[in-house]
Amino acid sequence: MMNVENVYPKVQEIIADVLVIDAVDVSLKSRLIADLGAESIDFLDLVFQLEKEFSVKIPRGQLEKNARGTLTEEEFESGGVLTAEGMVALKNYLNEVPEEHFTPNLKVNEIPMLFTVETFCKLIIAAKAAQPAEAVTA
Amino acid sequence: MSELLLANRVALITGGARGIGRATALKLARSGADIAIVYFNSSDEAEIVVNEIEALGRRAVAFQANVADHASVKDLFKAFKTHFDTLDILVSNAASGVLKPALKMSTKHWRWCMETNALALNHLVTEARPLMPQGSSVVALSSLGAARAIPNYAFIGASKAALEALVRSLSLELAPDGIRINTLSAGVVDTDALKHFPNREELLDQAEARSLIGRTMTPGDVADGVYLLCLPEARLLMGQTLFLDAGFSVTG
Repeated sequence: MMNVENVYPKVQEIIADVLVIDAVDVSLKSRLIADLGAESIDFLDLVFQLEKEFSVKIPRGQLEKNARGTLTEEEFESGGVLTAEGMVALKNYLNEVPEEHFTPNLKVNEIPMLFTVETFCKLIIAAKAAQPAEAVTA
Repeated sequence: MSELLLANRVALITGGARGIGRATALKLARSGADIAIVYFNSSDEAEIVVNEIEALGRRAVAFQANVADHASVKDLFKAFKTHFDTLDILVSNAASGVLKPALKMSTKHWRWCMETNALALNHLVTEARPLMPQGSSVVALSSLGAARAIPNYAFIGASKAALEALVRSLSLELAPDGIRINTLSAGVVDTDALKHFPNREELLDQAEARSLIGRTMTPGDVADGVYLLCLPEARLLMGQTLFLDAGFSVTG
């Protein structure tokens, strides 16, 4: 069974590789942007590398979609800012992120600032679980 | 029903899941070609395009690759060869970049733009050439930013200028094999890429005002331009940059 612990070493290695930093500087709790200096182009490369390594599909915007859960876009955000309901959904999804990082009036385009290494581990596990059974064993 | 001028041809389009790449894939498929599309992050969209092409009665396969990385392009062609024996049309359309003033850019941004938008063509042509018969055509997609100053577009513009120069040199090197290569420089088209421009509205307004057809261009307009460059009648167009911009670059 895939879990954060057994996915993490490879994720750590790939993140270090993409960001051209030492793997020892990457921890499960590291925030990609604030702590590791990731930029938007790094996320593109990172997702590509993770898809290849773990043989999963991570469609564009999947993290945001996962965060929204069952909410519609209108329920999740208003004018680019998260609604109260949206904030609850986001905190629920990103439950690995410390409470103090969720600033009030968080904008949708600021959500990536919250992403940690663990967020990506969970994303892979979810993507793997969403695959048809035969694809998992392939 | 008119004759399908690209029947029995195989075309590969990078960035083929969305926008201009998608429109090009569909145009070439409607003209009779079987299609390979290459995508980077857009797996869902790639699957949709494959289904659309198959519904037209053509073959379609989607491949994931990072065209900026030569090893990834090698893997792409290894996979391509398990599906197709030949490649008649190569469309280098995938592009990416960082939109910021040049004075706020880093070396990393430079490399990202140059490698994705210019160097990728060299990787693609290097791997594709042995599969391309006499009469094949390569089309690289550029933009007006290659020769004009557009706010925040400095590094992408530089990469497109490099691309156009590379196309001229490659035309010399590919000519002995009977392979033509040209650049199609498209005007402003409202695709997902344009959503990243802070001045998107302004660009669209300018494009519409200076367009000689009274409207902005669509991805389908650009796809038609790619199609023209692939026709046998374009046989003496070599190393050129064709401006497809509804007159934008010659007015105002």
